[in-house]
Amino acid sequence: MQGKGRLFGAVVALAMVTAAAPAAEARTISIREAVSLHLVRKSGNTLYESGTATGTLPGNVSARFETSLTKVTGTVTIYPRGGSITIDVSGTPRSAGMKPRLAGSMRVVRGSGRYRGASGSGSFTGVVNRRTWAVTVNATARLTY
Amino acid sequence: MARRRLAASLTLLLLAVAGAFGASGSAAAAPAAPARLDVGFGAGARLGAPAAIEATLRIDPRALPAPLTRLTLQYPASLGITTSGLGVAGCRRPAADFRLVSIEGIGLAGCSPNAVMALGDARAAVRVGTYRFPATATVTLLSGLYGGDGLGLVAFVDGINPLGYKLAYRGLAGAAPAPFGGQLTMTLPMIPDLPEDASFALTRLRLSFGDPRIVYSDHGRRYRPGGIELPETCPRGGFRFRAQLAFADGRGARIAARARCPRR
Repeated sequence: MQGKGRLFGAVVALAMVTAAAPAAEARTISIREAVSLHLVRKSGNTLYESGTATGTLPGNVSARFETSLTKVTGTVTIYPRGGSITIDVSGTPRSAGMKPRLAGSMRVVRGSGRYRGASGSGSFTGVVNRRTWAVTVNATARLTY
Repeated sequence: MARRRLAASLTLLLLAVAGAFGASGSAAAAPAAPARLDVGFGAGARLGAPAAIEATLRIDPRALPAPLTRLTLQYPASLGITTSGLGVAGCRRPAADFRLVSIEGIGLAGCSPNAVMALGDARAAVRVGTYRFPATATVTLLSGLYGGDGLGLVAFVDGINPLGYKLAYRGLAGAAPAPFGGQLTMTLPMIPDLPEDASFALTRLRLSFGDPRIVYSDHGRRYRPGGIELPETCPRGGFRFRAQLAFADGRGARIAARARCPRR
């Protein structure tokens, strides 16, 4: 009985200490990335791409885009040091031709590692090569994590 | 002048044919149906790979005698029209071309071969006064300029029998209501100088999107853009298409079609 009482006290004390500890302070930064992607494969109207991002949070990138005649939506995941950031993107073509331009918005939907709980939003412009399906994107966003 | 009028009527006929491709169609329509659409994939088509999409529209002119004024072809969301690499250039023609319909020019009328998206042909039954004769034409569908609501389209119809006139029509490739992924719409105005005693009736239109005969060039190097990207899986019952037709007499038709799944 006495042992159980000590254990309970220890748990309570630990809980109090944990509660009293200052939470890791969220930080918000502006990021600017240049992303270069190449085609991995196509399936129907879906493009799977991978590549690299250079800028505030450099790292590898994987992406999946659903395309239609009037819009492009998709999910992009960046793997900077210490974690990952997953972003939903939605854009519209601004021109036709061999290398149409795209522009749109993006929203951070989740993160992992040091970016766990990340949120934010931003915008992007890009160009797609419709023969090779290489994509180059310039993006700016505010990121909180 | 009479020759010109005859040519105009023929061109109108051909125009109607061109318009009809998207208007009618049911892959499995009964033989007695006034319009029927068959859609399939080109030879060697496989899931997960590009393939030509072949659409054939047949119209019974006894049942639908009025000129076709508008046609829409809706296609499944899973087909990779935008990932196909077709239409990497835009055909730009003066707006007057689409009012006059009959235009001067040979070949692609100055448009880039890189704009060609589909090749095909059309047949029509023509009547001028007491004369009746069949007409055939080649049809070329090109990408136009991009606008906020989609990609412009240009269709050239070249009369190859009995007169060699060229018709130009415009359209739009844009969003479609679910479950379709997009739609191609062509507007088919009447030819202004068509004689009153002339009539035409489209009887068949065939178009092959991503036809293997299409050749592009990139910095002087020729290449085949290939067909439409097929998904890796097939929807239950096949790929669903729908055509909507509008005729000058106010009648319309809406026809569903299914394309059978190719092998994996």
